[in-house]
Amino acid sequence: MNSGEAILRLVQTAAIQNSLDGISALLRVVTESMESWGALLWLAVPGSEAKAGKGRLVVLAYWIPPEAAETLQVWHDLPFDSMTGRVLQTGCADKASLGDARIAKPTPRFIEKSESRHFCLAPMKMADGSAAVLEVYRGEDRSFHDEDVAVLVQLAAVLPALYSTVTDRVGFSLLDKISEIRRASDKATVSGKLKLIVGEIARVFPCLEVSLFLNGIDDEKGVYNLSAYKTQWEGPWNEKAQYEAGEGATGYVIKTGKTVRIVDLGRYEKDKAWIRSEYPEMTWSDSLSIRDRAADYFKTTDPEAGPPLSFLCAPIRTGEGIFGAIRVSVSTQSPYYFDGWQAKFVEMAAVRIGAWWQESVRALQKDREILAWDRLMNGLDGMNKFVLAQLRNRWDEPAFFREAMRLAHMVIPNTDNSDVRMLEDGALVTKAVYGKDWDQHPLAKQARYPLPDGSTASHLVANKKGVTTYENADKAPCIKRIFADTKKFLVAPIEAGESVYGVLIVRSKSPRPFPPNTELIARILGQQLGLYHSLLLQIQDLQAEKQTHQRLIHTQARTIGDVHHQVKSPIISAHRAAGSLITNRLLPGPLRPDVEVIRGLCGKVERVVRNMGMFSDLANDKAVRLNKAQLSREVLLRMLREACVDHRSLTDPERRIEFHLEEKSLAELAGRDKVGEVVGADIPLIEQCVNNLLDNAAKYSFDQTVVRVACGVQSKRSEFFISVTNEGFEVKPEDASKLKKRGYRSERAVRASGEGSGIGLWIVDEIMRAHGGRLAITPTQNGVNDFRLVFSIVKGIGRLTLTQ
Amino acid sequence: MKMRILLLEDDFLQRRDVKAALEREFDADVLALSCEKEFRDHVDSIAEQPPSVAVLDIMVRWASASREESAQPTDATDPSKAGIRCARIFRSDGRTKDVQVILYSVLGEESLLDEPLPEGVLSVVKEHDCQNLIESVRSAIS
Repeated sequence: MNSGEAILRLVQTAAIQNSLDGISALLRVVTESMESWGALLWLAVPGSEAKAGKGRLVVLAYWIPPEAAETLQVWHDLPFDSMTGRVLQTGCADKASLGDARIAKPTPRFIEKSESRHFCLAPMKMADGSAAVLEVYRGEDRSFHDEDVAVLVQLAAVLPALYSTVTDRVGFSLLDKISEIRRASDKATVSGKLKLIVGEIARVFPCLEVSLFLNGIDDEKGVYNLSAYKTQWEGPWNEKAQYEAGEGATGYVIKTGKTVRIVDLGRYEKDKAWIRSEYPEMTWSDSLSIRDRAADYFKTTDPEAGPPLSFLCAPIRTGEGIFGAIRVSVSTQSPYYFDGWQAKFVEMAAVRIGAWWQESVRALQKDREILAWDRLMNGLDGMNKFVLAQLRNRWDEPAFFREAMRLAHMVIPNTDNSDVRMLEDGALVTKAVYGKDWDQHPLAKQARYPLPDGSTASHLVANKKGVTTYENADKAPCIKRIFADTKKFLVAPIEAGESVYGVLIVRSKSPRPFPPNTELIARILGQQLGLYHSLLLQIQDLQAEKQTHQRLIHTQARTIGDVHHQVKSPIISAHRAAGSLITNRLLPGPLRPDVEVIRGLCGKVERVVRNMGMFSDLANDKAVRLNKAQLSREVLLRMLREACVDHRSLTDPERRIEFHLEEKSLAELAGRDKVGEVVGADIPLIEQCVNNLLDNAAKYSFDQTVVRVACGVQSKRSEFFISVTNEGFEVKPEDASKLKKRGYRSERAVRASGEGSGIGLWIVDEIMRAHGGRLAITPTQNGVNDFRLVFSIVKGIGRLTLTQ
Repeated sequence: MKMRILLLEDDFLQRRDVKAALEREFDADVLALSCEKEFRDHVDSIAEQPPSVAVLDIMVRWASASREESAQPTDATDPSKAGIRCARIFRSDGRTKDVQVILYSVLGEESLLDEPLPEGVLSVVKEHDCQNLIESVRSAIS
């Protein structure tokens, strides 16, 4: 075959390759084109110094007949002073036959075991600039000629480009596959997808091990855990599930961010000089055992006879730093040595993994933040309910603190123990603790930390600092003061406005850092605790004031009660005496108005005294006591007549206000006795009600108007009422309920009458409710106000007394 | 010419008794007013012909209930200081500044205000028979 045909075949072959086998396929074409037995592609190992004659050559790729491949192991290397080395150093093609003095001594094992007798070699320059040699072998007694060398030189000239074509296709196919796995919208987790990626790398670059080390969101800074791996040989690769920066070759990659490619770890000690020149300060402690352990795995008695332990490790990095490393080791098929192109594609894969990992970490952080805020919001809601429940019973602040710390442990990851200290008399005093670590701890209860004692919490409070995190025990030894194994310590002030009441302290024994939002969450918790504490202080003040006030009210009520009892009897006697004089017509005519005034004044004093008595009883939570009797028409008539007369007597005549009893309304009740209805009532109290209503009517009626008193039945005769209507200040719908409240006086009422305490209608309402009735206040209609005492009529109890 | 006395008292029974006592003791014309608003409404006409003495109850309502509600000055919302407000009005008017003013209360010493009274104004707790009030008026006009 001439060189043109051979090159054409090489190009056609390269065009259809999509795996590393394609490189062997190219060498097969070379073998066949050169009518030879097999072909090898030699490469100077990285760090070899060709000109200085230092270094060696290794088999990058080969093709030999399949039956020979079963017995031959093609991974040997050659020194630079071999014939192949000389071709590489001189850049001149050559040919030779077995027995030639230029053939390396001892004869390479591969040549010895194969049928190779004649060799033809041509130098190559790989795409990345590294020097290589293409070598073909003939076994039969047919040596290579100069024209064969010329053909091989031409094939060696095109082979690097075709080699790159195949490797680029393999590499980009790998990157596409990684992107495809990453984009897949299936339910695989990040961890699951990483396993798929690692598996894909192991498939494309057949090897004993592919491992991925990553620093995750929960990992301690500087620690890189094994996140995914694919291996056929468990040791020594996965004996360590994590790496720290700077430890071994993998740690070196993580520390420096530099890709490491070592041709044969089994020769690490021999190659240490150039490895160190390439990767300064890299250390590897167990390099001596690796070859022996590999021999065990490969079941070879001679460690030197085993395949090379090739090693490739690239950093996973983003603009934010190094996240980890991806490691590929011990290629299990030709090419046995990892080439520069593989390093390039592993680096590119690492970039993709890094970008994705960073994206995933951010998404996870975001999810966790959302979850943390969600928990915090729910927790605060729970705390509010807790506080409300506490307020309804008895406020137990330590219980509330524990609830807040429970929330802190839920929201802040890796929190192991916490405590709340409050400021008391120049010291921080432990009020509550949370976490099992505190069990039996001597400082769990009421420990005092005088200010300033130099402790972190004291310092924080003394200087009114915000939330502070301490993660370095060397800089803040106090973080280990209570628990020696504390790794992190966070202090949040318990504050409200400008006041700092204490501190919330959260500790973690985990080396993992607190999430970024932790300080903000702690601040919110501290502020919430501060707010509640501030409220508690105010509640305590109010409760103290309330107790004082209640004591005062009770004292006043007792005093009023005493006055009531002392005044009640004489004033009632005076009232009756005056009434008797009027009723029995024992007075000369001219004196009658004055005695009516006296009776009116006595009646007024009696009402005031009775009001005071009732106020005293009600203020002391005593129910209105009723002494019920039947409210006869006769009693009613007398009561209402007297009330009208008395109020007429006590009202300024210049105002010309009339008090008119609608006696006809009582007369009309007479016709209804047949229904058998009864109204039972405490007569003096009802008289009190009527007079209270008339007192108001006298004070708040306009001049020259009539106050009317009437009786009747309403609501289909189920209710009996006594009404007082007047023309006075308008009663708006919204006023009706206010008027019944104790102590309520409108501004207009105060203007119209200096006297009055606003308890008259309240007492009327209480009396009526004690009767099972009500005080009905109808908002002003057509200028008329209607205040009505309403009683329920009990049917069938007895004969109606109203008609008698 | 009869002596003129101004009386401010919102309780009509008290007003009737005090007015009768003053008329009887001093043979005076007593102008009796029933609320602070009435005093303020009449202050100009009173100043035209000032009384010799003004006898003012300390605690007086602003006005009785009325269909036409008049605007109440913001400084006149406390009925327990109505008398002293009226005394100050007298003192601040050149025409009435020399009128003898006697403030009285029927409620006891504690009802007399702690705040300083205008110059020359007397205060007294009225007894039921008005005698001490009469003596105060007599002392004022002498």
